[in-house]
Amino acid sequence: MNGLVLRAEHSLGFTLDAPDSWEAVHDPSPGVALAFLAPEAAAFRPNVVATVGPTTAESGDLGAWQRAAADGLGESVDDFQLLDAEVDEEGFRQLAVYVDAHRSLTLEQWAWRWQRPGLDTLDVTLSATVPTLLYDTMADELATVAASWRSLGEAE
Amino acid sequence: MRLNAGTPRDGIVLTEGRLEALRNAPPDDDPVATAALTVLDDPLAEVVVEATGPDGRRAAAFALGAELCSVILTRPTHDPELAAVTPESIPAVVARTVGLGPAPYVDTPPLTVPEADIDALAVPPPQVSSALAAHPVGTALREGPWRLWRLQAAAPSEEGDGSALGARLDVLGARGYGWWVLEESAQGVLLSPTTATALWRGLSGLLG
Repeated sequence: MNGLVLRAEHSLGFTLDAPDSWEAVHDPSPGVALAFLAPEAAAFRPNVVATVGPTTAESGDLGAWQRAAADGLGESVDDFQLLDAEVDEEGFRQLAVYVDAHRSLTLEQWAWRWQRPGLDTLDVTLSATVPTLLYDTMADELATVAASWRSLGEAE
Repeated sequence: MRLNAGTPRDGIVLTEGRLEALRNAPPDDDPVATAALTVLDDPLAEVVVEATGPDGRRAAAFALGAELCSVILTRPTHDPELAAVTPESIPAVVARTVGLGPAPYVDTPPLTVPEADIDALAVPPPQVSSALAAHPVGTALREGPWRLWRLQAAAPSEEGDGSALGARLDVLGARGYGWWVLEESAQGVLLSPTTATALWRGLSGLLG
């Protein structure tokens, strides 16, 4: 049990959990399978977004994938600073801060290659975004949401 | 001057006498500069971080207001610079000042060294003691863009008696090599391994 009671089940074959007070939005935009929106805090809705897509050549080398993801963010957002990054045999996690609409936001990402049972392999990225001053208070909750990912039919 | 979110830009270089000249300027000349000076003179709280490394000393001294934060940035070979940032930008400015970045967690037992060993890093030219050189942090000190950073935050106590509430964070390490939190103990200074994420949590929670 992870203490999260809102479970979103996606047709791609996964579930993700969030606190009961959050809102789940399915397929909000192309390539984005699921978005969890927390209640507004500091004039921003902290969120966790699941991006799922075909595997790429980059994701075959997890270190290169992480660096490419960081470089891509650095080119697409203002004042990007990579704060932490770790790569293991499953995927990577990275932490960064950037500015959007005059707000300082902290971004934490988890990414891995997802072998769908009996099907294909897809690239998954979970991106959690919060106002920077809320990161410390929300970090454990965000990690719990990220860790709740399950393939449908997978035992808890 | 403009109010920045994130990296301080368009600051005012504080050549000799510049601060006094700004104080004497008409307030409508530059409203953001006027607000920055007001906060500088009467802050709600103050945060100061000093970072030393092989390339010299850097510092960021923040004076916090409700909507605006004045920061005086000090860098090697540059005159100090006054800029205005949003209060929630403080962690990012601190991270940039100290060079916070990805590094492995170096899973070794904590080490206690005499306080003089740490102080010797802060005074140019930095001297690396044999105890630090023999520890994994020694690799960062030999090879890396190491930083010793000391952060202090202070705000007046609600008691109204002139006392202050404070927080302190001292860190040694280098991007790519590892980070260690420094804590004073009866035996000296205790170096405990940490992660950039844990340090960022500390910075983001600083104003909480």
